[in-house]
Amino acid sequence: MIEKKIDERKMKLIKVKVLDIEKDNIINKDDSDTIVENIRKYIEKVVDGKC
Amino acid sequence: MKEITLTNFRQYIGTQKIKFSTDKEKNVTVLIGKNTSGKTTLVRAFEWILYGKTKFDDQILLNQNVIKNMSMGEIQKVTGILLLEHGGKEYEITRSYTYTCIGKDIVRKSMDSKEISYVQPDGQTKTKIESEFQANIERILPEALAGYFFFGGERVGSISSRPDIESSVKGLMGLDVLYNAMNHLHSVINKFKKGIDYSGNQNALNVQKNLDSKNEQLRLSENEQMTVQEQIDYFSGEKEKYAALLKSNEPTANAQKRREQLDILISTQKNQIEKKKDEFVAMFGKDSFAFFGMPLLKKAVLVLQDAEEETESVPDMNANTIDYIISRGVCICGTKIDKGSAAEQNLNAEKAKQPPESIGSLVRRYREQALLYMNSTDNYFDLVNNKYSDIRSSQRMLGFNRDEIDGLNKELAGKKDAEDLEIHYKNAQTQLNLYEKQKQTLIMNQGGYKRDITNFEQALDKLTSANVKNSRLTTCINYASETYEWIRDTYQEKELVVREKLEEKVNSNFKQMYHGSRTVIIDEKYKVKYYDVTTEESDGLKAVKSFAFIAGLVDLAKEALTDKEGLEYVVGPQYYPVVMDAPFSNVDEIHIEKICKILPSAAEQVIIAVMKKDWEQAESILTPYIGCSYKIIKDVDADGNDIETSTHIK
Repeated sequence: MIEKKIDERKMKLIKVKVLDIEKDNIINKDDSDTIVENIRKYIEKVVDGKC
Repeated sequence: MKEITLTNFRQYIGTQKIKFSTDKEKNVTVLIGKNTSGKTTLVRAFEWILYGKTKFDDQILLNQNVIKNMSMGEIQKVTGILLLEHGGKEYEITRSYTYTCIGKDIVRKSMDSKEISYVQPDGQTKTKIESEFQANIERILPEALAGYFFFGGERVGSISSRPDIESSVKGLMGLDVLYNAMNHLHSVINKFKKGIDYSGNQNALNVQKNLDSKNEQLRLSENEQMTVQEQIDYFSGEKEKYAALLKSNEPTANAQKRREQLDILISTQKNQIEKKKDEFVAMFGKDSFAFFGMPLLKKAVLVLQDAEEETESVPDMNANTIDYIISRGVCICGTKIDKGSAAEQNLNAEKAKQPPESIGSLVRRYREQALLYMNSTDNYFDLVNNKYSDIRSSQRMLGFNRDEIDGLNKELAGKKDAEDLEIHYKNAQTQLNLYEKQKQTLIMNQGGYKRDITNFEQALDKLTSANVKNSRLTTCINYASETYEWIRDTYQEKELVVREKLEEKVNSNFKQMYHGSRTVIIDEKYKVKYYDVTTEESDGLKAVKSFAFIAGLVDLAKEALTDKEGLEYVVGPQYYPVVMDAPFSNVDEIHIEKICKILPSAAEQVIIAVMKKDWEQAESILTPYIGCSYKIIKDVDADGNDIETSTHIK
């Protein structure tokens, strides 16, 4: 089933993680594909209830 | 920054150490030296230690005196150590180049090393940080921003118009984090979408096709809107610029208006004078002979007044008339005139009274005519006099107006034409209206596309919900989209705040530093511009503007950017030093004083390398803020000449 309603806890986790990844990226200067992949994997993890 | 130690770095021979003031109140460290003593080298030493940058023409950093004394195969090191505090921790950053002598006065860099250590609270024990050196430096003082804190030998005036200023300010204020996140999330959403499997579901495929088409239309429309927005920004700026110019040009505009009025007035006056002159000439021509003959006429009348009228005769009768009546033989009364008759005798008697036989009538007629002439010239003088006075008065007025127009011409020489400004202003306004209208149309269309997209997405949700994999991906898309929107909104909100705050701070500094009454604005590219663009800016004014900007920027960095929802999105507060080489070179005495009053309070720490002559003007103002002071001294040879390769700091 599609998760119609956004779970606020999950949403907060994703927001915080995305910003953390981007903050690290300012220093580490990873390539764009790596960052996109990191964000994608994290969202999947949260959606799957693994966080 | 607490301390820098240089060993055999360029002209600095041996080991030279500078302890910087870290006192909150007395946060200025001043390094005084004459020209070519090594002030710029010192500022560049920071960039070398932190980022490995060597901006010197000669890439050999080892002191030339040391090189001269090296023997073949000998090894010598150039070392720079920077001790600084960041986030409540003390770090020691060391960089060194090792040189090997490969011939007389020739060396080759054989090794370079860099290290960052964390100084334990005891102040003695140092723990080497093993992780990537540059990443750690980036955490402390990002290289992209270094240009705003280390001013090594460049003109300060150019700072506020650097091409990288937008990305630097965004970097400093943490906006780049949000901006990058937006771009990355966009890619993440697309990646999820590509993963959805529509095989075997024709309806879903059709809806997806429609959705892609609407998304593309939306993307194109949004791109077009960006272009239109650029035009709006441009013409908006133009409009403001010309409005300001028109305002500042008001006296000129008034002078131009007066000149136009005078042009019309002068032309009218010239015509009137010409008309009056014609009237004068006509008036003069008509009765002038009588006027100028009047003395003679008066005299003649006087003489003739007493002349006796010997004969009484019929008025206006003359000899020819009488001859005609006699020859006709009938008088005008009907009496027959026969030769020798009494009637003929009477007529001949009357003829005898007429000229030429009698002068009496002639005298009478002359007198009558003279009196007529005299009467006719009674007002002649007054009329001529008045007309002439009138012409002279008009000519005087014309002269005054010509003088005024000459004055205005001089006043307006080289000034901007208010009419041109008005045309530019109106053109900007017209263009602005045009693009605003286009923007509204685009926004309206986008609303339609978005509605369609939502409908297609909902339809797609329903069609794909049966598939578990698709359902999971749709949920991921929902979360990613929600995050994207939150970050986009936050970015837009923060960006506006940063620009407004920066403009406020820069203006506040500028007003205190600049003696005039100008206002500066921060444009969308974070470039500092004058609100009233009227004259070309001098180097001194550029420097003042840049100082105001730098002070505003470091001051703003001290304020933390936080998220209103209390999320962990926090940037700052960040405290940065300002290190400047010869900052006052292009600035006049008054501005040096004003800049000196602002910088120490805006920046966390100020390190200035300054020439002695410039320092004399700044010293009295900066004295209360000076925590440490050093002299950069060149050694001298036996003849008292400077040794270019042997400098000490005392």
